[in-house]
Amino acid sequence: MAIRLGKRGIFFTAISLLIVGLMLLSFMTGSTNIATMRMEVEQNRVDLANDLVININEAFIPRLLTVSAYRALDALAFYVSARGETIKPAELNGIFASVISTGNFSSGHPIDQETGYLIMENYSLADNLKRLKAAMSEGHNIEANFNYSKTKVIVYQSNTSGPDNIIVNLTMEYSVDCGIAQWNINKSWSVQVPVEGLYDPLWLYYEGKKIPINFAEYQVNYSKNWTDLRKFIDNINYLKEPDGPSYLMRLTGNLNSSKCCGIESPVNPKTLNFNSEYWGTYIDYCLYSNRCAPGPKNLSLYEMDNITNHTLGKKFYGYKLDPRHYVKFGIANSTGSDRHAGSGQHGKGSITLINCKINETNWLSSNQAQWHSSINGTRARCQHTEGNGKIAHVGFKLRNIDHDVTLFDVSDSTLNGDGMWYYEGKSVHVTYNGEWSLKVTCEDIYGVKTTRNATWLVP
Amino acid sequence: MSRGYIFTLDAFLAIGIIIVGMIIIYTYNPFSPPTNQPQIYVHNTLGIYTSTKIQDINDPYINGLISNGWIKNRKNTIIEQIGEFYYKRNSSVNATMRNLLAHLTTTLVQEGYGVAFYVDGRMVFLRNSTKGKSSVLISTKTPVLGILNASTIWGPYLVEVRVWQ
Repeated sequence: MAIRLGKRGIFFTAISLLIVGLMLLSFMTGSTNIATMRMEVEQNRVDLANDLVININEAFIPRLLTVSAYRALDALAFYVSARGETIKPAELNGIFASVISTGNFSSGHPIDQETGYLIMENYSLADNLKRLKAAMSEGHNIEANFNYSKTKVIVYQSNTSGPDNIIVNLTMEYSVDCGIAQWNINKSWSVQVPVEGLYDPLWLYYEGKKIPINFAEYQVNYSKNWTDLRKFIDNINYLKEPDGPSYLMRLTGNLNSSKCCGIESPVNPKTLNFNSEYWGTYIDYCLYSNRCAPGPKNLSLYEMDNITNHTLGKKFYGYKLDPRHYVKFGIANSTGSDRHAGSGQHGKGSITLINCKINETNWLSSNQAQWHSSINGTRARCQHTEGNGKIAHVGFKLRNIDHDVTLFDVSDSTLNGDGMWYYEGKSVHVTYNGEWSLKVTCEDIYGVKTTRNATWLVP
Repeated sequence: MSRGYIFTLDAFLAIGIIIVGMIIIYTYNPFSPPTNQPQIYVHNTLGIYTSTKIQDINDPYINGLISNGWIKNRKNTIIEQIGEFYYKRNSSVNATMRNLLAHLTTTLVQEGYGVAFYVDGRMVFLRNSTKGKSSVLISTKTPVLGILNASTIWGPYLVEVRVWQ
């Protein structure tokens, strides 16, 4: 039977088609909205991660690098003092790279343990970047991975840095993953680390004294204002000096000149507890090398009115300068204020190493002698500006200060090797806590004594 | 004729059911109030605070903080300065930090919007306390770190900005 197409059928069909069409339209619009909103969310997340990467590159890593480098340099200066040996120039970059990256030497030994000072703890690049990674993960669920194994670090000074900065270059790979996008970065950063505030390795090595490098912000000109020279010596301020060694050279024991980056500081007899006047220029690198007066040419030395005195224990005791500094500080231009220093004085001794033999095994820094360890021997390196042969006697005195106990006090020890003196006559078991002191006294052939104390705490 | 009435009634019933059904479908989506403006404020606020350096702001209040020694490093961005204040925190530093944020948000975020700053999860500044009644709350975070001097780092801290209406 044929089906007749009635008007009602057409009407109902049209209505149905209309309804289906409306429903299709409404769902399509909804899915477009959802897709747009979702894309906006993903766009925001990628933008956020991108901004973080920019921040890491331009702000975070340069800052972390500056602080880690500053602390690594300070730690190395204390290391030179603790070890009693300057760093070989060829090894400086490698040691610096290892210390700045992880706070350890390449052997894995922490530098802070060697020096007895907590300088790199929590401040190596690895520590800093770990904290940054945690912050990014916690805040945004963004994963950052820093590849320490492929890190390259170079440290140097040049005309660009000048004497008051040290350039540190870092090349490193890292990746950032925000889940929907990933960044793989291989980049180099270069920062200038200020030398201001770092402890001078020269004073740490030769005298065991922590003297921070603070540049004089005034002109040292005796003829204009002689009190500025007094202030310069009193405060142990620093000046730029192309004839002097740079900071990095001081770390390596090189006291030659650095045209771009040399610095100098005055010798302060009171701070250094001088118990004798010395025949040498009272400028740091001059006193410990033979480069200034009297030097090989036996040049004159000059004393200054209002400054030099000959009273033991007073400020500026025996202070003298060579002709070059005499002119540099404007003393030559003053009237009636200079006089040639008399001779009859001698060079200076210094103690650059103090070690203990601990538990019959290694010669270590004395601060490694901790509770229940044995000190089986002590040794010290005594040097003299006139040659190590001028040292006549070396004595050792070991004390526990808190309990007022002297474990040994010997005035004679054995010379074995260039400038190295040993005492192994008595073994001491560390059974007292508190502060310990090992005092070394080097006496030269002129009867002048130089002393240096190594102190450490046994908890 | 009665079939016509039935079919017509049937058609009206069908249309009615369909309309009711569509109303139910459309009203099933949860109401999402417009988020554009708070979102803009949050991103603007954080964006300006993270990119604008103290030295680039010509403002008497900020110049006063510099001359009084509260702000020492003019190359800090605003958010870095907040982080530095947080690192040094004590009662007077906290008050200075709050005043600085109050001063800056007055300019950037209009009245009627609440603003809160958090550093490492701690609230350091709040404007308006109607948060419990708001219908829109947008927040964004960023890590921030800086150096106090050559040997000291502060941070990284997570700084969060919340804006609500």
